[in-house]
Amino acid sequence: MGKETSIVEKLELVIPGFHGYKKKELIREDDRLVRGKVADTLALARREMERALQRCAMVSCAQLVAIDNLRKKLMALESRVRHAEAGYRGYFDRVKFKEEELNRLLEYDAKMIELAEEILNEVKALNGQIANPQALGMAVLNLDDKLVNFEEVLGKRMSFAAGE
Amino acid sequence: MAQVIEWVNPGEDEIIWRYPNEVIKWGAQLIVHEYEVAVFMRDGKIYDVLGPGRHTLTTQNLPLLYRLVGGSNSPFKATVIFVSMKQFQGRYGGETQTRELAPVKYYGVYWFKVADPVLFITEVVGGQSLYDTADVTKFIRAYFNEGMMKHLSAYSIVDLFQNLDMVSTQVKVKLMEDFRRLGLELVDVKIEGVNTTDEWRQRLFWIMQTGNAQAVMQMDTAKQVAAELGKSEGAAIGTGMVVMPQLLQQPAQPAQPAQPYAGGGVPPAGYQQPAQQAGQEICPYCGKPIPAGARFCPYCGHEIKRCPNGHVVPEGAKFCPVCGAKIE
Repeated sequence: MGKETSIVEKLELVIPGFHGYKKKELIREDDRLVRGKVADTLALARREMERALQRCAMVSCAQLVAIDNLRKKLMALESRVRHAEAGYRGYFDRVKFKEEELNRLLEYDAKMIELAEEILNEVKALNGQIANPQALGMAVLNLDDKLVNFEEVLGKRMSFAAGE
Repeated sequence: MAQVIEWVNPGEDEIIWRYPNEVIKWGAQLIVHEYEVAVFMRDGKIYDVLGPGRHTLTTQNLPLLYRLVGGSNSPFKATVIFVSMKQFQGRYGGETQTRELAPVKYYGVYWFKVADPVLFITEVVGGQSLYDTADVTKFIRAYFNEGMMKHLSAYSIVDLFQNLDMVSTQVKVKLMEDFRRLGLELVDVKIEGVNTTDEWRQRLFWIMQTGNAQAVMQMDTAKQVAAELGKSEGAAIGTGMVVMPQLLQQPAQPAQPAQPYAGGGVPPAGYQQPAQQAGQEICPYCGKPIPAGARFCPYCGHEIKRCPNGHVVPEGAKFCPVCGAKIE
């Protein structure tokens, strides 16, 4: 198993008129891999959140519905990241996507990895506070802030991918 | 021409679809859409779960073996099962009772998606070629009814009508593990409606009005006794004079105060809906709290009728259901 380019791909990269197209395609694949990693981290956070929900239901804590709403938000973000735009443009489109722009997309993805890790840590912290109603309330608010931050970065990435 | 394997036009409720032809040519093109995955089985074993994209199917990519088994046109037997990863909607409904044994009917919707295609195929689908939401609902119905009965029976009828979102969340949390065990993910559960009998709806009003379920049940008993006594002319007056005052006595206060309940989760068994705040009554028409002594409801504008002792009575009542006073 490896991520190196195959012989056929290496050949494609030296063919004049095709190598630019191929390089962009490889960046898009990288973008897809990085987004997949972000979505997987968010999925991990969601599973941790479901654990928190179950523990919350066990002790009848008042934040059950709030935690469930955050879980839904997390699910929506996970799907949006996984199926986000990858910077494709048609031949006749006025705005074109070149290598530079595609690399900018990867920068957004890298930022999202950081934020997703923070979300995961925040969910773990929330899970540890289920028996403490006051601290749990704060943990819920903190997680909500993190999700909003993530959504903002994702929104910027989507706008950029749309050529805005 | 290369064989193309693709799930074309999946139905709205179809979760899995098995490619009907098990004879697959070397180099067949498998096209998987973004909203689905394909499970690739060969020799009866699951080999891979293929994500979105175009895949070229071969058994082994070794050229020597490729020639040995007969070249480019030699087919091999394999199974491709497409699994839709989108969200599906199922329906549920049933009948149970609340903490006061009030009969309630409930119905609603749940949303789910496949989380683990391999687990879902091996644990639930088996050898079937097509599996849809109705099949899942049939499979999972017992879990739903059990969860609903457990949670609804922990609530009083008043709490149930006021805390539907909490009940549905509780049920969802309980069912999540059951769904996960089957390779599914329960996204959401919503109760669309809860209904009870007319008799219990009237009782519900009076429980909300007086904040005391026991007193309302006692009034019911008194009414039934009065109706029965009315059937025997001679014995009615004497027996009524002895039995009725006892039945109308206020129930004794419990020795221990009810446990406080902070809200959230299933209320504890000893929990009683707190009586209305001092100086507040409930409008019999819209159910919202109104100031004590108000002549009109500030929310719905209905005129509030009262008995001589000041209890709120429903429109058309000839006697006050709380104190029995005649209404002019």
